[in-house]
Amino acid sequence: METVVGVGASSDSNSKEAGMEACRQAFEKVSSPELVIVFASSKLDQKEMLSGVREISKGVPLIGCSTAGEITSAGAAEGSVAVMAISSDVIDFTIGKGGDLKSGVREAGAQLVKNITGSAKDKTNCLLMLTDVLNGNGAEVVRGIQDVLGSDTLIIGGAAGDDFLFKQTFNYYNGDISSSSVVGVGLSGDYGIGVGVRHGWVSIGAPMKATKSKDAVLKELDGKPAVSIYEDYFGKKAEELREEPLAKLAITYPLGMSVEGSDELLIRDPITVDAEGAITCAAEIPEGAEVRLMIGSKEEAIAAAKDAAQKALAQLAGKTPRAVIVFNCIARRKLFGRDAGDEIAAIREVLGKDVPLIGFYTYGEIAPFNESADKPFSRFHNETAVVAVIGD
Amino acid sequence: MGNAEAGSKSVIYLPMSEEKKNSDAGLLKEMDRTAKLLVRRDLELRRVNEELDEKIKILEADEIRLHEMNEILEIRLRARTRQLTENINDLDRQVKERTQNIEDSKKALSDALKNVSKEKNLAEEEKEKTLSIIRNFSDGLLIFDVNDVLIGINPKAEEYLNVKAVDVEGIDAAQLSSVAELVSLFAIIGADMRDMSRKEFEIGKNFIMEVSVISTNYKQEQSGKFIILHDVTREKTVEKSKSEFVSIAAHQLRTPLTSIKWILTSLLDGDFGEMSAEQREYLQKTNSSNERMINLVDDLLNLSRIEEGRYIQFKDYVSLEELVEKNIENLQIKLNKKKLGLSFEKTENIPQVLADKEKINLVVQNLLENAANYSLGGGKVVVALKEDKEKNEVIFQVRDSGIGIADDQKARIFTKFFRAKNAVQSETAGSGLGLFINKNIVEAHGGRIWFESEKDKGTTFFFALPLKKKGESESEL
Repeated sequence: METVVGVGASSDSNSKEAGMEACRQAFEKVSSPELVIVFASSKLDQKEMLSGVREISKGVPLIGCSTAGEITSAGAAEGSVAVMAISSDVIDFTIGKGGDLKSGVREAGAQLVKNITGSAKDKTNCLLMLTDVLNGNGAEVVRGIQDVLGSDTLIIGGAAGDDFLFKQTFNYYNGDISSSSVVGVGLSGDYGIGVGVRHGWVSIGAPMKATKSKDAVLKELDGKPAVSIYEDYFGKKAEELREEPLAKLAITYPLGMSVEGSDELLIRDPITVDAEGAITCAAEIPEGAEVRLMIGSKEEAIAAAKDAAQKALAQLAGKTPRAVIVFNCIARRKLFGRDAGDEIAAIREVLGKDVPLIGFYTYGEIAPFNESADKPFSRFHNETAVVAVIGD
Repeated sequence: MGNAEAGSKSVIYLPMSEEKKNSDAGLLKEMDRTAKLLVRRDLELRRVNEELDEKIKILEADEIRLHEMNEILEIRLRARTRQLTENINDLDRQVKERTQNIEDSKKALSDALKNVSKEKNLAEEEKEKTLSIIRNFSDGLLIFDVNDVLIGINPKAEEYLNVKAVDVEGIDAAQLSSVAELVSLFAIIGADMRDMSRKEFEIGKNFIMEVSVISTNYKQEQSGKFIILHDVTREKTVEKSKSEFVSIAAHQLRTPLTSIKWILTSLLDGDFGEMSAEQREYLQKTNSSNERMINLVDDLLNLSRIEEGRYIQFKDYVSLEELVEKNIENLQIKLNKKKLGLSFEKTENIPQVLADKEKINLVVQNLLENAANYSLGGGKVVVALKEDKEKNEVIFQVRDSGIGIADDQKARIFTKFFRAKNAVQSETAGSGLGLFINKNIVEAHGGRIWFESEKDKGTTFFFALPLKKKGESESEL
């Protein structure tokens, strides 16, 4: 056995105890871990939680972030800590950290790659990244990474969450806790990896044209203030929609735009509405794009997750799955409500119930768009389920 | 934009009216209208679902809490049940112990009651005995408590005092002293009821009592008093009859004896002619015997008068000095006969005493004669008279050189018809009444009489009479 993986989770109300307990469980089967991944609820005391984990993991390289819900083999959870420990003869792990997003989003992404490749022995053939979308455009971070790493290298990851509050998220890098940052781990060596990306949302109503847009701010649709799409479909006034972040209401009714090379529309989350009725999204919508309102259903979403898992497994090309990492949009959790576990169960059914699984509900996902292993062009997604499986 | 439909799976397929089928714009409008309807419906459903989820979450949390509470309650219940079981066992044990204790106490109480009842019966018996003794006591008894309240009077006392127990019991001495029937009693004993012994008093006619007051003590504290009334009426009556008999007898004897004396004196004086020496000798012996009989009868007469209480007749100021000198003169023949010396010492200016001269003379005469009679021949009689200014009295004393009085007989020397053994054995004749009469006379004058004696060495008799200044009430005596 070349790659050994353990997963642990704890819902202990004492943050430090929770961190220690989850890490202890993850370490049970892994004698000498080389990498520790931590996903923890923002409700926990971050410092206490991470010190609890580190008390067990000691100096083992660690990355992680806060979430809007934790995912393990046991299903979906809230207010908990999930820890994955990995040791492998065939994979080398190199962790790294980028600069402050506020001082340059694209630069931070580039810095992350340089930080990793500078320390890595071999060529990095996969980068797992965790970023903060409350302080910087996720797509821009990806572009910054691709500026250095090139567009052919596989990039997967997620944007940290804060339990649907949209106030502050945290990234973990060894013992450090930071906001407005990007962290990641580069994988190198001879191993197998598959990534499935599906959202399952379907379009509804007539298509509209983004008549005015700048980066992530969609100002007008068909010549009218962008918010009118939600006024029309929801039958609510713009003022009502402004009262809270638009995401709270509209997250399960995202916008979709067609992109070349994909069967599915690329999803964009509406986040806020300004006084002029302009909608700020989680990532950019280019001017002139055709935009449609999207709607979801549990059946479609489960089918999409299953499909993503199957695609990921197919890409392993016969290698044995050792670990599964899921970056799943918070919108999907909202869609499923209490039945969020059904989606996770569907994924495990495909990839094998004994394969250790970790993941979290994100504020954005990073994965290839065209699902081609040969030419993985990664992009920043919204409302999507990203299933990554590592095998050897 | 053109591949939008190709890239997305449209799930909305709606039947359309014939007119609208021909119009793309109409179709799109219809689709959009339907889409909006569905989105609104979906939004509403989502909202309802979220609310339900929230409620379910709360319910689940409640369920968990309830489950935890249930566990806690069960643990408590078990602990409580255990505690209660222990308590019940404990109570049961306590009840058993208590029951046993009560049984024991009951038995002990029952035993105690039996004992008490026994004791009570005994006490009742004792009390009954005591009451019976008191009730049947031949003397009258009045019993007072510590506060001088009369708590008991026996039938004899009721009879003597002519009162009823119900009228006098529960009343204190101060109040009793003013009850008519008891005035004379309290006049003797006083309302404060000081202890006294056998004081005589008279109730009604010829009803004479001896009253005694005795304090009773219990554990060294005075617990009460009782008065004893002893009926001496009979004794007194007998005594009086006896005195009367003696008096009458003595008078009847005295007269013939005086006639005999007169005849004998005439015979001895030779008024009826000369007699032979032998005749004279017998006649003189007869005369001497007659004299003794006269003396004896005189003594008896004095005695009976003393006992009748009508002895001291009248009083006057008497000079004891003269009286003693006269008696010494009369004694001279006897002194010469026995060859006795006599000296008389006296202080100067001895005051006169208020007295019955005749009776005091008897005393002096008797004491001097005794001294002469009992002194041995050739001895000396010493007489002295002095005034004791301190005690305001006159003291007479006469010392003989006689046989003395034995210690064991001294106490009885002033009693009636008593004669000391050695006196009887001596040749001196005597009635045994002299000293008794002396004592009565002296004490009737408020004086004292006593003696000092040593056997075979002699005796000194004293008497003292109180001095009263002239003019002081004679009725005091």
